Amino acid sequence: MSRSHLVLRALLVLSSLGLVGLVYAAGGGTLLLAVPLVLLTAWVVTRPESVLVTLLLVGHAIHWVTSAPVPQGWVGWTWLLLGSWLVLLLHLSASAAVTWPSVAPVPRAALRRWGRRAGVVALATVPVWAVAAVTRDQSLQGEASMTYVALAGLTLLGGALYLVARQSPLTRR
Amino acid sequence: MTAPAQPAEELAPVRASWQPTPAHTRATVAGFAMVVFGVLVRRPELLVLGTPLFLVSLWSFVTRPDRDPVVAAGPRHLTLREGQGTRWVAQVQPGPGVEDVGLALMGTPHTDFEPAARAVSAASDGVGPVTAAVACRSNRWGRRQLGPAVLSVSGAFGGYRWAPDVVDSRPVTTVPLPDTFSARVPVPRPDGLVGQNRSHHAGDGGEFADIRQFRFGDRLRRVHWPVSIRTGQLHVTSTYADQDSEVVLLVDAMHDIGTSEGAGGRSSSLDNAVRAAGAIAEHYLRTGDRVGLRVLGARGVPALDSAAGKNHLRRVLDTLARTTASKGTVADEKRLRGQLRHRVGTGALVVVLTPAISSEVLGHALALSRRGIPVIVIDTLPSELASPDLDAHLLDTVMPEADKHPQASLLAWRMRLLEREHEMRRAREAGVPIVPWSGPGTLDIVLRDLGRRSRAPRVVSR
Repeated sequence: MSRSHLVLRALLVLSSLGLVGLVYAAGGGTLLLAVPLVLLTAWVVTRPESVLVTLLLVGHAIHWVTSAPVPQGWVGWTWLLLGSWLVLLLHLSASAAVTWPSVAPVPRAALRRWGRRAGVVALATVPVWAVAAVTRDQSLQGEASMTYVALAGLTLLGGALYLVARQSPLTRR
Repeated sequence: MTAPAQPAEELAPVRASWQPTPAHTRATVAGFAMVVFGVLVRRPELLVLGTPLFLVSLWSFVTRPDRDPVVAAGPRHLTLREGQGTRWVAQVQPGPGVEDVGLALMGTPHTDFEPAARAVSAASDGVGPVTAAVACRSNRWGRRQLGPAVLSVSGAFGGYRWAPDVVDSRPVTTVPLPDTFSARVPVPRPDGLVGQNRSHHAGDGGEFADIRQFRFGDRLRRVHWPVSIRTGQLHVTSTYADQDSEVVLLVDAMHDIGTSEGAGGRSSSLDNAVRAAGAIAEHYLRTGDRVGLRVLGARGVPALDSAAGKNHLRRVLDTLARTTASKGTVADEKRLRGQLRHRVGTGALVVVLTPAISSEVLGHALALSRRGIPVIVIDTLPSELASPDLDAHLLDTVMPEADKHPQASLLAWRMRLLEREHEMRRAREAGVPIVPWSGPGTLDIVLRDLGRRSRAPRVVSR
């Protein structure tokens, strides 16, 4: 395995372990979920093409939501922002590990491109995080019915995107 | 050593279609689920954790390629010489979605790759074509497919991938690198048209035959004036005609004994035979003689009738490159018997290249000799294997079951060598010279003997 692929796999492990650690730092964490997640990380790092990467990501999300309290104050929200960046890092390192042959070094130009785009996505996450933090701290009153309407709209939007993707002439074959 | 490059247009086009990758599905499903559930259960953590995945999925989707890339792939050269190299190239024209290219080749026997892992990655700069190439060096003659290869072209964040199942390429022919060979002694009985070998017939040529009385038709420049003045009658100098000869090469592919390590390494008996046949063919074709070739025991290798010229040398080397050792089946033996029924022209020199393990081939050489055809047998068995006391490693290369029954295998090999010696002695006593292959001058002594013998009266059976 090339050195660049070893680095990618190391990033995958570090991001996954970092997520576990962040949950504990945010005041949550349970061994019942943390241990399987660490074991799953060990498996996933050898098989980044595996569907278990999805399970790992979802497992981290469940671990966070079920064990950590809702963020209070800027420290808690900062942990959450770091967590979202680690989720991004985990996903991208797993994706990059299967994009090129593992025995061949990854071209530097490609690494720079991936890094630049990952930075853009990470920055684009900040407004969502900020809005979430602000609205949560201000305890805005909402309409439950409007929430469901928004959810339905989001679902419809997702469904429409899926259908457009299916009907695309290139993905139809 | 790399062969001169040929235009990339000769690479074969490769077709496939873009497909979303598991990574894209993961980002879409996990991101969408986290965002939706985050809003649904009013947990901002889920919304924030899922947002980057959702954005990556959205990015991949928005920049998804809308047409297939133009990809051509394959080896740059389809014919090499032993030790020569070429490159297995995948060339991807720039287009939407073409960002990252990965190429991995499966291993091929007797071929060195650079990089040794046989895999390369390349990134598009968005302007010129992306080229991923693995250098391949063929170490042994033969016809082999380099690869097959696995090729993939990926889009943004690896969200969409264009990847054919496997990319097969046409087989690459590696022609043998002929050993150095030269023969100073002419072929015994040249019987062609115009060549460089002194024939037994008088005619136009460079070699003095005798001085005889002038006959009608003799050229005036041939008149030998001193003798003419002394005798009072016109005398002329006569010469032997220079004619070309026919050399028929019989390569015994019934057995391949020993280990083949390719050019520069240890050679098997078939390696020796093929390279020696190439060398002999090259030598005689360059001197204007005609060379024919028959590979005995090999399947699917056409027999080449005798012909002359550089193109014929190419044909001979190509045919030698297609040689494969027989598997020793009943069908192979039947095929051998059919191949042994071939025509040999008058005055042809037959060169049999054999490890002398197959008694049929030696018997055939003997039968040809009894018909009055000059035959030379070249022993191609590697010299280190012609010993009755082989060490375990060498014994393993000649006896397949040697590791299980070392003593019995050694005994069997000794018996085989005894039989071989006996058959070779019988052939020698019948007048068939057997010489080991030793490069330049291998045939000189036996050709001289054959030349003397051809001038002597003899009894032949027809």
